[in-house]
Amino acid sequence: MSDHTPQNPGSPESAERLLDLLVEQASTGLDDRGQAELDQLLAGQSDFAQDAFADSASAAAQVFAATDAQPMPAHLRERCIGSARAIIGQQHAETQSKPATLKFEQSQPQAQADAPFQAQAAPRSGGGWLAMGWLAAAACLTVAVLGWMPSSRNVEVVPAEPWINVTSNQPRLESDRDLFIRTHAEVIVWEWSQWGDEYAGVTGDVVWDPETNKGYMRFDNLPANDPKVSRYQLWIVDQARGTPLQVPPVDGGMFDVEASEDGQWIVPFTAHLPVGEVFGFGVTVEGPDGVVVSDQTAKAVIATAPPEQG
Amino acid sequence: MSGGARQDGSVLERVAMGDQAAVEQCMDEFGGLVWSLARQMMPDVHTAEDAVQDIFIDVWKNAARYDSSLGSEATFIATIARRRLIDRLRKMGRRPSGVQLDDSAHGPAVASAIDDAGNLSEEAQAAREVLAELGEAQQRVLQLSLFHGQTHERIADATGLPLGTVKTHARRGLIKIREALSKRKGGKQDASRPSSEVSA
Repeated sequence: MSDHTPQNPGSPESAERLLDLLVEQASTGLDDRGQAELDQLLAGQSDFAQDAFADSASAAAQVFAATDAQPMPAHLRERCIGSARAIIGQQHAETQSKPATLKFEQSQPQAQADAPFQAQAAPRSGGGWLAMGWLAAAACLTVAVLGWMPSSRNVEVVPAEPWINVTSNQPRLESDRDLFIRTHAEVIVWEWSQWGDEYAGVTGDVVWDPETNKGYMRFDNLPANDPKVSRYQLWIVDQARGTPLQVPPVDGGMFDVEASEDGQWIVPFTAHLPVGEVFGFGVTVEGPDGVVVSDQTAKAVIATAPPEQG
Repeated sequence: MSGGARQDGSVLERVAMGDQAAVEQCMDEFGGLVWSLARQMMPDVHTAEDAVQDIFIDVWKNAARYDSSLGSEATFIATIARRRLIDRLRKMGRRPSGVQLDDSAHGPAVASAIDDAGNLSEEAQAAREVLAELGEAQQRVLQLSLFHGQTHERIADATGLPLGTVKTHARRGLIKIREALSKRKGGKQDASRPSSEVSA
């Protein structure tokens, strides 16, 4: 967006400038300055609305895309389908829990709600309270962390398509984990710390690869669970999804632990939403079907980045 | 890819209701469209894959807001996709896209490709008819701008056209497409002004 002299609203020059900006908005986007100028010009007329050429640009782009058709890679397709499972489950859960104790912030402007072709911001679901718990946990891991969410805000929700991370064949998983660390240059390895009072003796680590959105959890002495009664569930705090005070953790799936001779248990996992900048991992104990938003009444372990050395 | 009305309810409506089969159908019908847009506008395959994931997250979140009376699903999804891709390009400082701009700027005429475009949404069919009537230079400007995400300045550099001509081609082309869409919708969109009044 180059410098441009402000026009008088209603003048032929301003009409021309308005068209230029609308075309630029639809073609390559506007910077903040250009958008502000467009907003000002739109306010002074009634012929055009915001994004007036968006449909036209999309229609033309479809024509060009049709001449360039290539199938989407299978792994990408699967990741997109996985994200649908998580998001749609979360949205259903939020809808179901609306009349209950949770208050969802409906801050979306009416103009945006009325524009079906306009992407909306990520839903907010009381994540401020959730994130407060995570922040507190990161700040004082060695003490009893503050509640992730007040117990009075208990959310009785079930994902539409809960998934369970498969933990059979532990010897194979151990070698898979080792190979995973060796072959993924960007992996991080963070150690588990106690989060809930009953899990003082649990140790181990979580391995995470931001490139593939996958990882492995390794536990020592994490008690076995009865899947008919309860299951462990992994949560991933992603700072890239917004400020930690706004966005609830990403569901990393449920998993079961069985008794083993050496007390060790390895769990592979995939985040079914892209995680941009991981802040921490937490494991809670939930019902057999898992939850979309944990009330944190049963916390197990937590992992965040180790303190900077030196 | 297709965008016509469906007798069994729209794919997006069923996606919004949590129908897993509809999610897969949505990927089958529109995955190629989004992938094509991302590959052309992003600088590399890795970034394109990231962008596609973000786009479909937006699609899933907004599926319930799709209104078939306002347009096809393909255009709804393409609009979300282009918005996301443009945002990414701006954040990246408009690094060059993966496409070889010189080839696109001076390669074979796009007219035959436009004629060959397959199954299209109603809006895209209208756009194709408009594009087919345009001159080759104007077609190419629109292709580089709307499909490859190139700035008018870059298009001018690549094609050798004066910047003012590039801007005029882009503007006139979009206005004509908008008028064609408006006619198809029976004037539901904003009343378009006569081309002679708005053309540069």
